[in-house]
Amino acid sequence: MLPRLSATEKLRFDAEIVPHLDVLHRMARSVCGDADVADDIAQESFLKALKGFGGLKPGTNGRSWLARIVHNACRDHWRSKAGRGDEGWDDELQAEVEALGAEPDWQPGIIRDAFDDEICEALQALPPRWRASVLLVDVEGWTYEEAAESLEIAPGTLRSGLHRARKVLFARLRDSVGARQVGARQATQAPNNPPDHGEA
Amino acid sequence: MNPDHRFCSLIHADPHGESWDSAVRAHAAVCPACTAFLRGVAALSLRLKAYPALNAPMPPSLRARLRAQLAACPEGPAAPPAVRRQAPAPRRAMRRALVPAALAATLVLGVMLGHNFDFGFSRAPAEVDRTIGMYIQDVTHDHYLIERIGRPLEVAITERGALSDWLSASLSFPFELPRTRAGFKLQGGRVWHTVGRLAAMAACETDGGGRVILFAVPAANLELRGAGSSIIGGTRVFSGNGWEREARVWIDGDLAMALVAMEGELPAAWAEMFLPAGL
Repeated sequence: MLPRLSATEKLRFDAEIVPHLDVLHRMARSVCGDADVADDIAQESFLKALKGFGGLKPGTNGRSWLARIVHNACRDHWRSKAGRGDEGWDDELQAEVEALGAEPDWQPGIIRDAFDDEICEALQALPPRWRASVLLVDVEGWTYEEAAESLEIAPGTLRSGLHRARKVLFARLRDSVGARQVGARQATQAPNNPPDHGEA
Repeated sequence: MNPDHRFCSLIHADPHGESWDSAVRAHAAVCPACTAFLRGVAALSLRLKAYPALNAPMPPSLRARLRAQLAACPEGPAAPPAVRRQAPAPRRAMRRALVPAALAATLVLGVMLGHNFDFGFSRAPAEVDRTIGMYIQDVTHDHYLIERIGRPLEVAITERGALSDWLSASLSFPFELPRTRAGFKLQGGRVWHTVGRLAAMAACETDGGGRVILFAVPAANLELRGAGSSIIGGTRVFSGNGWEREARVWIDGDLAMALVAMEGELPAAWAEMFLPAGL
């Protein structure tokens, strides 16, 4: 059921919340990894925002408030999926970072060469909370403070978690792009053994 | 080179430099490890921004559905948040009894002021009562609000056809931006809500660096009164002031268009430049 809003509230909602619908949807899609689920979460979050808007104090950061609603809706979806609770939602990535050993080689060329499916795979391998962090800070350009408020964590936790997430993301992209480039080199160096194109 | 590794860890935790002071900035410029790290993070950020799923807008059909839900919310004071009920004290009970009477009196006063004391009890639903004068008041007030918000545009589409398509997909009515004469550069637009209905809004930059905003709402049930008018280029153009700015309104097909300048008076020639060509 739609809530009752005064004309002024509608105007305020239109001015303070509606401009952030694209971010709302991108966040849902990046966290859940599925366009249809993202549509459902965006719809559900929009209704929650409509219902809660009356209680939002003027001057409150609307997009951060909206992102918090989306984040919670995504987490609810995660919990309900196969009844797994919070397991894996905000894994700290300690084991992955330790497995990397030294700092990764932050070579920009490797990242620029990454294919979309390699980006997708590397992102999906991150725990959902850190996917959301990467989106808000590194893609949308939000400050750590604002992103941390939306994700309901301390800014320090966000900084360290995001650093680990970038390391893991970088290392995975380096591995997948590197493996592809090695495969391509081997294919060109062995002209007598053309790749199998599936012909019988 | 500054070998202080505390700076390295600060930079790694904050590659966008939000918390850097001059010492950290100086270190970032000379430390090879930090420079390589910052280049890597910048490349990662750029690559992610180029990844389609991370910069796609909301699907237009979903956006239109959400907007329709906002428009469909019944208007009226929102329900108060749930509070613990208390037994009313005698004075509070008296005040509570007076509230409906005060509301009724306010309503009657509002109706009288809104209709110049014209008691038309048999009149049609409220939307019929919208006039050009109210439209001018609303768009000038909207304009005042937009300036205060500071980021009025929802999309920065600068091509007329593309912005018309985007607005039409987001609104409940087809909308085509008027062709402007030279001197106005389209900046983008957004969906707005004015004079009690969904509205298209487009912003244009003028040659002098100013900005004009064009609103469009369905003209149905909008009475052509409440503002003075003159005929410009064969079209009746209404003009009026509100909120320290001037608006000009005209009817173009099924839509009522309103043009408002950023501040002060709107040069009469500007409205002419947005009027349907050939009139």
